[in-house]
Amino acid sequence: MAMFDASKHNKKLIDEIQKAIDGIVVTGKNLDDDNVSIINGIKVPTDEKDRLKKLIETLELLDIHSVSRDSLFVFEELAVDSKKFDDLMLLLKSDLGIEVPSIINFYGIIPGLNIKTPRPMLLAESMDNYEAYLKSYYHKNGYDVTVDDNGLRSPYPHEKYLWKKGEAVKPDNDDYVCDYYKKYIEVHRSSPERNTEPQNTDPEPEPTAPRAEAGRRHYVKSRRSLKDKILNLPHDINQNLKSEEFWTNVKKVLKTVGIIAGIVVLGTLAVKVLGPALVGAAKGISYIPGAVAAAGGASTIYSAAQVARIRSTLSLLGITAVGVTLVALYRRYRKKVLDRAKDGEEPTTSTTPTNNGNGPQNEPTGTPNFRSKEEVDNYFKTKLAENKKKLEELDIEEKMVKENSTSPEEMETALNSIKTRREILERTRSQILEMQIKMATFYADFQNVRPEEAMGGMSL
Amino acid sequence: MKERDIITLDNNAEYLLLDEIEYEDKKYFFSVGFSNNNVDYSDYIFLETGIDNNGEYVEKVCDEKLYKALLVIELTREVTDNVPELKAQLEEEINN
Repeated sequence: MAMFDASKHNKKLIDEIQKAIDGIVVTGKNLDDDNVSIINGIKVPTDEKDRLKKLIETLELLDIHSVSRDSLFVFEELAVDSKKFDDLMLLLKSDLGIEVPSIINFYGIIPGLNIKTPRPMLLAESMDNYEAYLKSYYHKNGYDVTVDDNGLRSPYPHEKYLWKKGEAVKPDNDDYVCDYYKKYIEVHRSSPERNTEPQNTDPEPEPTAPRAEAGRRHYVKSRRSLKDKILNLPHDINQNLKSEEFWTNVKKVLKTVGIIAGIVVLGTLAVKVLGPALVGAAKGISYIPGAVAAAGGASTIYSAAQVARIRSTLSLLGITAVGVTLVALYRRYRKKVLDRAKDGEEPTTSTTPTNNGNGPQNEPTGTPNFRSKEEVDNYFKTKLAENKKKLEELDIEEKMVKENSTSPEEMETALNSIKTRREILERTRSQILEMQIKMATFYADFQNVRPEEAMGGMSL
Repeated sequence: MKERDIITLDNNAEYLLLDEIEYEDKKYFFSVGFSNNNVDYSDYIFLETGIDNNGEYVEKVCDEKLYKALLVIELTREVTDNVPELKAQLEEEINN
């Protein structure tokens, strides 16, 4: 089998990350020993230690040599506008924990059937659930596949095409089936139960639990607050459902899964732009103790270390892309409101910038538009300088508190306040540094995203 | 109705209210189906809320345009929550 050098395709990313690492290392050389840490035998500033580790880990993920093409996952969803980012980033499926190609691989109209491709399998979903969904989806659309004596189904139409940018591409090989179907066969054959009991070819019965019906009002009979455990959430989340903090985390897990489920309707380009960030978000919910990823089952696929690495890697690409998209989105939203104001209409939502009825405004001047890398650099330099100044002011304040406090209690209270503010400023600094590298690396690539395209033709 | 409530509808369907959204002068909840203490991951919906003479009611959002708008709002919140710097930038943009 021909071996593949993925690092060539990842070169752009690797170069950027290497550049960032070099910057940290160079800074380390100029510092006193008191302020440096040794990582891999290299002196680096202590406050850059964690970022450097993250960058090195990311570099290791991207530096892939001599592997089979099939073992790689291609992030081609980042193709935007006329810029082509095919094979922008390749990662080993094993590093991603991908067992079946699951999320946001393709969307489009299936040739000959005039129906959309079914939604992708969710991280939190079992193959059995997804199979039931596929069967029901196709059946509803008047299409059923054959099932052999062993209960093995033939491939669905969308599984026989390659999908590039939402378009079905007929493969050269007539026997082509997608990776998911291959995995399905593998799982099916490895299950003795499945091999001996042919599956029923009738469509899955509708779920027994009642659901809200379309087109009618449902009156609320009763309501209660969520305090009991949810059976299919990870144990550690359930244990702590009563705390506000954990509710926030549960909500985050559930929302992320839901948004991914819903994103299918947003349109191809929006999915391409926004999808990877959400995949990262879904996989990256690693701060919930014991619950590595989105609910039920995912924790058996992803180790905490994998999730942390995936998160840092994907966020380098995905979140940045989303950042630009969202700015475009808000600009468009805002323009619409201003147009309304121009036409004498009142804005209709409370979150809308209202302009106070003064007619159209000029475009905001205070927001950086980052049209060049220098502007990105300058913006973050300013932010870092402001942050540094505030930290220095805290140092002065601390000194004054120590010199002027009239009682130990007063001093303790004041120092605690300073400590809290310092922690916030230090967190902000690391966030600025993180954003700096993301934006500096990728902003130029995504600056051509047009709002209407970023929104997939959607109108707000 | 508020986030974290589990509501039971007149047909006994249950939903966990995840996130409140105000849009075009109406209140919606991003919600997930709930049954026997299990989340139904295949039943994520937006519920429009209201009150009439018969009491509090909800209505599943089916209009595609509205659904997309609500989903983008959720998406925006989700992403900006993960990137504080971006959130600050967007707020600055909106306030200017």
